[in-house]
Amino acid sequence: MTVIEVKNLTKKYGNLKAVDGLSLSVAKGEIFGMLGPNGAGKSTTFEIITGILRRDAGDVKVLGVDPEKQPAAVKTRIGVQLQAAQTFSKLTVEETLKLFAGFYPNPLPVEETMARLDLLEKKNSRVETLSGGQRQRLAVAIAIISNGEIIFLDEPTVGLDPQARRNLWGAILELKDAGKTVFLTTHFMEEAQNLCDRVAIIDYGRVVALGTPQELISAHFQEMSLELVQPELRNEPKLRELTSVTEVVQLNDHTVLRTPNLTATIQELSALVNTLGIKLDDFRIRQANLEDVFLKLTGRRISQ
Amino acid sequence: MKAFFQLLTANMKEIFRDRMQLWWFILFPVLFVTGFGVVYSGVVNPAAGDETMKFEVSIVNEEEGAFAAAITGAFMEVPEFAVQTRRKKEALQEFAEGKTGLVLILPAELEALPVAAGDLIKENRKIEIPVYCRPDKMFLMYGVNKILSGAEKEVLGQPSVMEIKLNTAVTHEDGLDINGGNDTGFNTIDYILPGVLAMTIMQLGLFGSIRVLALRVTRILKLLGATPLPRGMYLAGEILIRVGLSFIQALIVIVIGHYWFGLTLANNWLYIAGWVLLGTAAFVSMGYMFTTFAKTVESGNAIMQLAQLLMMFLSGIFMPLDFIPGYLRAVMRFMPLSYLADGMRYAIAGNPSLYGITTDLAVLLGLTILCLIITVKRFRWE
Ligand SMILES: Nc1ncnc2c1ncn2[C@@H]1O[C@H](COP(=O)(O)OP(=O)(O)OP(=O)(O)O)[C@@H](O)[C@H]1O
Ligand SMILES: [Mg+2]
Repeated sequence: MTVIEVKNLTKKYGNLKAVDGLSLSVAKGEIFGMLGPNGAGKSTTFEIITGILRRDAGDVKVLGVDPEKQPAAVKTRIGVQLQAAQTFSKLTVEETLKLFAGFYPNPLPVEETMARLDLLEKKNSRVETLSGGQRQRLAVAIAIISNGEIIFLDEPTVGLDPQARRNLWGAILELKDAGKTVFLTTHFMEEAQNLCDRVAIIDYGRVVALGTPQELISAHFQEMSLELVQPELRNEPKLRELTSVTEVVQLNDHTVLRTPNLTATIQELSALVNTLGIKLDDFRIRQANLEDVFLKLTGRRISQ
Repeated sequence: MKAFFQLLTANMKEIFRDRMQLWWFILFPVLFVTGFGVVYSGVVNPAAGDETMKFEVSIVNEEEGAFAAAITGAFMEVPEFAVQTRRKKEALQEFAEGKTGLVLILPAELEALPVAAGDLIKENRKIEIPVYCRPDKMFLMYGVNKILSGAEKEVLGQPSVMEIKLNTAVTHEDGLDINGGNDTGFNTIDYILPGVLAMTIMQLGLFGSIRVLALRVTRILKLLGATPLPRGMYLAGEILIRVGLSFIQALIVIVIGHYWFGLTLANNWLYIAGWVLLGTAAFVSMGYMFTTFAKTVESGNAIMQLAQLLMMFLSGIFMPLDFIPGYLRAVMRFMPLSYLADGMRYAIAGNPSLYGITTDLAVLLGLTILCLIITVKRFRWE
């Protein structure tokens, strides 16, 4: 069952097309991610779908309802965390959650929500005294407490340390187990890859690829990636002459070789470094990831 | 509705947990009234007689009859009273100006008394004797009572058909034409303190509105917009709190002013509350209008500061009118605060209106409507 349906969505700011003919659909119960670099149009799309912004063209249906025409009907059934939105600074964590719980017809218990996001310890602290990561968790808690059928999270893990990020992923997976749909945006490749059932890669307001992370990767890469970090090998032209290598990508801090035959490439590489008179002492082998997909599709990296 | 009250409480917590807000909106008015009260209460009060232990009493005989003459005579016999007979209008004018502390009005009906008393008692009716007495001269009422009931007893044999109707100030109901720039001799406190209240209401309206800017910058407004809460509800709550704070301010200024500094209370609370409400409406909407021209809290603050300084010093609220030069009086006409202060002086202390009460009302209402229109046109949630 489709819970979000977006067709040819367009939103302009002056001459800038922040969203440019974007289409996607999200099924009930999945964790759907929009992955893209800064300014790609993720938040704009997000805010149109959640009924905060008006669109210029296109169709949007959330739970079968147009959020622009019947915002109230949509808003009672979803929970939202906005990028960089703060909450009342003089209220405590518990007061804040009680306040927001009061806006929804059938909210989760405050205590349980705090427990899910590790906020129990900070229950009586004022928001102004919370750390960045704690505030971020409170923002997600506000979305979750709505007990909405779809939980919308705009960059939920920004500012979290790796441990807290993993905990939050756990909380998001719990939502899925409870039958909720989760729609999130991120510019962390790992987040999209590890957490999301399906991912839309966004660039310049358009969907450049859409599917499960594995589908996206295997659609674009049969090869493995071999990353060389040694400065001596930077921009080495002979790398392109290795017969088993299908593609060489030079990035700022490392060089990526793509290969369908890892053993052959490593042998060729050893021979090459021998002739160059250097030692091969640092390289990484990995499968292609969504970052590679983005790179291949746009020629740029998602982050920096 | 439940959500609305929760939001209201949340908002109140935000305000009351913020020392600065409390300072501005509660403590500041207290300091202001006390300060101005102390400064001005010593200076002017032309109400005479306190030192010599003679109290000016004006008696108005609506009909020069024998009964009224008898009562007047009884008053004259009291050595502490300096009695003068006056026409009603003059007497009330002098009372309003603080020249006399006590006015006794003997209605024409009294002359029929010896004959009509029986009918009155049968019909259980009484004749009202209006008495105007300043709050600080209340002790005189004992004597007034005694003299009146004595006179009644002498004539009728029983004190039961006259009833004193006590007023502490001249009100707009007295039909007195106190409009027209007769600005000498008024109690300075009565001039200054209502102006101070007008000023605190203005400040609350202007600076209170800045909060909406802070909420926009921190995207709290947007977040609220993502919840099912109707967006206007947030603003409604904010405005309600502002109105509440205005009433608290008014109460502070009036209570301190009245009990410590002898501020005259010429009208009932409801009438005064109406003016407070109108003033709040005008300046809250003015504040919101200004916020639509600012992107950040800082620029909002700058606009409000400018507006408040202009109005504070060019509305003549800090100076008794006698000291205000002509050119400033001309400038005052362009300051909205002048009209609120004028209305407040009339509403609270019964001071004559400079511009006319209808003008005050029209200006404030017009301002409210104009600012609301601009605000609604320009307001952005994000
Ligand atoms: N209110 C606005 N006025 C003008 N331009 C805007 C506005 N909001 C967004 N934009 C522009 O629209 C484009 C898309 O912005 P958006 O916030 O949707 O990007 P994003 O993908 O969420 O980026 P990020 O990862 O940085 O959050 C950007 O170029 C941004 O500058
Ligand atoms: Mg964004």
